Amino acid sequence: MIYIKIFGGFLTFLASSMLGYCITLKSQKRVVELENLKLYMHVFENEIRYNSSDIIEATENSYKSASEHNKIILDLFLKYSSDSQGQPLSTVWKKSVSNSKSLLCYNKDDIYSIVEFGEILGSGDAETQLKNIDVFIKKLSDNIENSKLKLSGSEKIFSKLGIYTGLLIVVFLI
Amino acid sequence: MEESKVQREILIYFPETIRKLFSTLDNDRLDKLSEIRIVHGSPLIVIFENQRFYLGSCGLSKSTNNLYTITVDDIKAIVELVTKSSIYIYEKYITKGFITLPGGHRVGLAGNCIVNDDKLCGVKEFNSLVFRISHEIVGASEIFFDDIFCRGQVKNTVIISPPGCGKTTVLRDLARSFNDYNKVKKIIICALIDERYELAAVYNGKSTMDIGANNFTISGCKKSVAIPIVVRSMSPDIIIADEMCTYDDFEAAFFAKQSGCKIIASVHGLNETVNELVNSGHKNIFDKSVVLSNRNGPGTVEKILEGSCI
Repeated sequence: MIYIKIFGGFLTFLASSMLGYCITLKSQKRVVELENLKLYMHVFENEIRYNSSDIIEATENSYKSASEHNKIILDLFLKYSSDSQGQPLSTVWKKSVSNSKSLLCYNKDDIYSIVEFGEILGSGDAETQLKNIDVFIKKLSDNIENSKLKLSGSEKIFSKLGIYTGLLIVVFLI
Repeated sequence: MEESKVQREILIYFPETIRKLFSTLDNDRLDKLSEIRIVHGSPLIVIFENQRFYLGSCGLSKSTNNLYTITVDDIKAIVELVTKSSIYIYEKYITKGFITLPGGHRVGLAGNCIVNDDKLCGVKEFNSLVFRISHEIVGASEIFFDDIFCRGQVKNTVIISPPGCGKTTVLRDLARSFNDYNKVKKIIICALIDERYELAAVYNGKSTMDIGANNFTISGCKKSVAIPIVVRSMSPDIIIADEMCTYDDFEAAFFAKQSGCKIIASVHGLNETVNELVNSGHKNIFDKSVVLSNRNGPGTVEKILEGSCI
């Protein structure tokens, strides 16, 4: 009987520690993917600035430089735009982000920024497009910076919290 | 059923509300379309062989009763599709009033102009579009080819007509003909100066029209700039240019002639203005003038004249 209790206690402790660790991991992944998205936007910007590509062509040409995670949005965007029936790209972009956000590791603020980026996609002159991309890259940089600061503090808290909570539950149960 | 050329190259730019109107026309009819006019608040107008019809859900009509009328949303959707939702790429073309589509078709746009310091900066709130559908006609220049290519020599030629009479089609056919070894008995290289992407309609680096295997194209560049570049760097035998209209264009043509290239060009004009057009400061560039009209359809040759005088 005591062995079952010890084994159960060990499992509870492990699960709690893993939970804390997973929360930390998710935050870390978010930062990594934001950085990947920023890199992709630089490539996208180059397509428009130097190749005068249209938005779809720029998306296709810079697709390879996107991470697997960010390709989730791009795949939907390219799919919906091919059958847009003349809908503005801002509508297509918003639809792509809405339908993929549950699969993304971004938080609400990130999703809002990504949708906001799409608001003037394709409309206005080339200068407006480039400024829009620059503003979005700046926002991503700010989000990455803030997240890294929070992460450095919360990383240890969450992982230790998981361990201590697990221990507490074990002690309580025993 | 195989899609017609118009379905593949034109109807893809229309939203479903308009595209379904064309389902009343068969492929043969569609391939004879020369123009589609889209005006806000009006029914769709189509032009076949110089005849105008309204197009409704029941087919062609001469009356506007009970016909679908074009909405602002239809026009917005067409502009989105034509510009691939990236209007910033087409800024300079929109200020010239048209966009060229792959296949050499042209979309004319009208709307509210944005003017700054008397200079047209852009156009917004489009209210009317015209699709001019290009058709390749092999043999369009056959009737006068022997007049301009004689004993192995090409004559500097100007082709004159009002709009819509087949100047571009004829120029393209001439380019092809000069590449036909069986016809000319030698290898001739032509440079096509395709300022508005209509002659060769280059898309993604490849000509979408048959311009002859030996020929090459300079696209999207003013004729007055492109002609000297081509003469100095590419040494073509013949320079073919569409719609010469400025003094600089004719100066460049004269430069090409002085450099030993032959020049074949088209100009807009009616019979009454030909003399004025071709002679004004043009230093007798041309040896032959071919006047076209629409009398028996586009490409009807009205006159073939020596020199550039009537």
